[in-house]
Amino acid sequence: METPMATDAGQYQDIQGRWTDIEKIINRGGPMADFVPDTKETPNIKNGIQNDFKILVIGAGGLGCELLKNLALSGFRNIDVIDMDTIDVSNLNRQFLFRRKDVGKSKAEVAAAFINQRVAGCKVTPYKCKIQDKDEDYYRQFKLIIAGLDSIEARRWINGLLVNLVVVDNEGNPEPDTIIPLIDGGTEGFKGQARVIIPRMSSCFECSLDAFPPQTTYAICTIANTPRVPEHCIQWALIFGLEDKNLTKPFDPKKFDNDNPQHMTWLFETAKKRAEDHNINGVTYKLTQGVAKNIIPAIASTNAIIAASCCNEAFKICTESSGYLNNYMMYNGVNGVYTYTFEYEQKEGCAVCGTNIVTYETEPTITLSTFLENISQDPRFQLKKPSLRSNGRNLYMQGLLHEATVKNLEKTFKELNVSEADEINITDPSLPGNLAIRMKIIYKKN
Amino acid sequence: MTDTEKYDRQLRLWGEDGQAKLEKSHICLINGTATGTETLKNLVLPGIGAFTVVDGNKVGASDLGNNFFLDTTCLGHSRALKVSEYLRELNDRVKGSSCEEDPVALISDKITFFKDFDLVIANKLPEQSLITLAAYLYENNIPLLIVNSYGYIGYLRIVTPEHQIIESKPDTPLDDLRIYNPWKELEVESDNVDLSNMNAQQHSHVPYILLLVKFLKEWRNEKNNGKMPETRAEKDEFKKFFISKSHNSDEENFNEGVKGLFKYLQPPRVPSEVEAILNDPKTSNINQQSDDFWVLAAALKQFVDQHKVLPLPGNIPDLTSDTITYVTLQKLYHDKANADLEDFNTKVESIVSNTNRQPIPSDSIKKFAKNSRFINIIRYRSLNDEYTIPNTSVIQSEIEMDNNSNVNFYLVLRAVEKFNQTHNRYPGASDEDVDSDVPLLKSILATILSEISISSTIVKDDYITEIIRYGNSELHNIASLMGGITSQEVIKLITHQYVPLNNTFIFNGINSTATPFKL
Repeated sequence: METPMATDAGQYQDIQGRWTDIEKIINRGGPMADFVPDTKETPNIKNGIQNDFKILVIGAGGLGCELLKNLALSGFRNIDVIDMDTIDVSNLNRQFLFRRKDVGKSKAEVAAAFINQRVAGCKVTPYKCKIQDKDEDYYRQFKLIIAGLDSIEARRWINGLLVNLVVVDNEGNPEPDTIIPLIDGGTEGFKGQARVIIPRMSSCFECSLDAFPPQTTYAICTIANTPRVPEHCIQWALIFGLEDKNLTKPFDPKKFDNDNPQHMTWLFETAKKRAEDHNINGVTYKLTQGVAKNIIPAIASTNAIIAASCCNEAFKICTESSGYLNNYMMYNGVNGVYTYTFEYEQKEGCAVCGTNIVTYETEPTITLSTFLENISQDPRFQLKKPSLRSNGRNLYMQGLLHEATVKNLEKTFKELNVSEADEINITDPSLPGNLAIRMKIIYKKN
Repeated sequence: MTDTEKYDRQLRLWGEDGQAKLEKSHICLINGTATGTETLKNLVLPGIGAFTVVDGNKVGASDLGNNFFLDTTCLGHSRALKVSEYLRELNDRVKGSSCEEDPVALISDKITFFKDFDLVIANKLPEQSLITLAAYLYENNIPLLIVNSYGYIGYLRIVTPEHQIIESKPDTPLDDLRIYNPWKELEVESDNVDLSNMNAQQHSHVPYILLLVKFLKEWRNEKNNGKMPETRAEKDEFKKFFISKSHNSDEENFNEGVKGLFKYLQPPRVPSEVEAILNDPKTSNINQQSDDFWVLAAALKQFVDQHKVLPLPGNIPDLTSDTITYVTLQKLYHDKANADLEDFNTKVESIVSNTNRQPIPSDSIKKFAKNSRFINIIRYRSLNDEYTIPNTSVIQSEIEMDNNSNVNFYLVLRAVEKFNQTHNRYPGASDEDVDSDVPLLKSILATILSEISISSTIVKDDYITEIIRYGNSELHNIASLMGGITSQEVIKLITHQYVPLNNTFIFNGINSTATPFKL
């Protein structure tokens, strides 16, 4: 549809009276807000949201669609959206900017086009890429960033980047102009959370990593030897079935693809066979998909609640027309409407925003391999492939130095000369940038 | 047939049964405002059967600043018509229609218009019409949700005489394993466990359920004169005894048993919500007109009277075990659950035939038996009761506990509606009235407070000035948030799964806190 007015944000002439609801809030002061309201002569706040402030939305999925709509109807006109994904049929029960004809197209592009057409004057610019493809200068242009992501890894990355963008003066005070607030939302079924992160001023995403429970994992030996529930059989098909040369597959097992129905059907049938061999009931196609793709239930209503809360905070931060969320709101709709709003505190020894060192209690007799296993399972760190250094020596390294250090795994801390109060430096691909966790070893006193 | 591919992510929550209920529902929205359309959006997407929007307004400029289901081409057209059109685009399986009449006129002239809906959502309805509508719907057993967004504040109230829940789906339910009170076959199975003839591998793979049942019996008979461990000291004694039977601290099955020990050492108990249903007068007065729910409750009462426990659900958690033992144990529970179900079924059938009523589908009977620990009933107070027999103690204690409680906003919103009723406009609606409306609203609030016997000084003036500042503005974010909350409660009410709010909810968008109240 061709709109009579140019859609370029700068030139757009708005319909008289369109924003009266927002104007009441930004033109009138009140006892619960501390700000200078707009006047006819000095519409600073309105200029800010319509012209000066650029907002970034990360993710154009369930939360992303809501976030874009909410920002557009909060008066923002300069919005970027990043999402590398394409649209799937199972998105259509909640990602309301997409239709069946859009399946297979870029989420960011379809979402941006829809908003630009529906909300006159708003200009959303889509980027179909990874957030890691953009550099610091790109992120520096935003007034604030809202993330509607399902991946912890991506959230850690953007959080780390924004914390690093803050310039701290000689006295340790952050320079306000370099702080870009990050508003983060997440949902699962009837539950969700919204939070405001003011880098270097409040707790950051990394501070709260242990609030995210680790994924359900099944012991390999159970899967291999004593399967009991249908999930074990599906995992068996995924881990052992795919590798088994004696099992015929209608595809190249190295190119197994979750989204290919033929592959999924093979997986389901293999898991079902495994289950039948062990008298286990309950392997269904739906469950197979759920386990293989780690599907998290998602509905429109929860996304609406969390995204609206995120955008309400964004609007208030940009207009200063009210107080704001300090700094975490949990929502649970399973039993009544339960919310809990609290201040998530900065974590001692946070690898990203902290200056302190984490202390870790263990024994000198621990082998490096057990230690590695323990810290890898520790929800505080969320490590993937850690490398360890201590006293200027490599204890265990990934990549090129792996060969040279793998023999250390069987040695104890004592044999490796790791003494009480020594520091171990941990680097890991899941840690943003060149950050390292500094861990001080304390030995248990018996 | 539903669209299992499109609805996959929600079917994993409420299942095909919940989905079928949604797809049969016809929902009415009064006023296609931002709050209204945001609510409907989240219901059209998951696939309700049909919706009808009642709205006498034409699309105005300010609608384009907060309502996503309108655009510039809609200016001047019927708002009911246009929002229905745009909402329908979200899901081709949903029927949508519009009624361009003024809801206030409809309620006063032709209230029967509302009798065929499964649920009504009312937004921005003047107080007098709201009270009339609420009374009518209450009488006709049709749930009503009243939702308003007012500046940074959101309000929701659910009204329906009785809401039945069969699957409350708690987050972390305790499995019913009958460890404390094993039935005969389970006891025999655990007696047959002979740990002395096992190798290390076998020893560490006996399911903890069997271990607990076995050693509880042994301990009782050897150490406690046949009595179950009751005091903390006795339970600790048993724990030590249990641990002493393991080879070493690495045996996962024993560790699982220790972990679950204290929760399974509780005598079986019917949950208080279920107890209340069993003792409800409706359970003992079954007649031809009784709902399925109450017939099933009556059968459940007979079952509990006879067996002292609820029917066994029959599912066991994953636990350390070898495959064969696990599958055998699973079958044991499954068989017992089937036996309980058969017994329950007989009781249902005899009630059905005694009262000469319609038979109940076997799926429903099975679902009820399996979920009998999770049934629940909510009886909401009517809006009329809330206004005429106010719950003063709740309001009083809320404010006494915290004078910045969100209940303050409930009170000033009541005053705002009364103000609108009296002056035919909202306080602070135009800039020139902002200051002069303060004493007017204050006196209205004082009247309301005196009616509910609460001191008029209890609400700080700040709440009055803040609410006047909003001047009936509807911010999209608050509208969308309230639309999210409201639609989620609608889904719970329609599917009879999960537990809906009882009965009032205030969202405070200033500091992002929210509070439910039972008013």
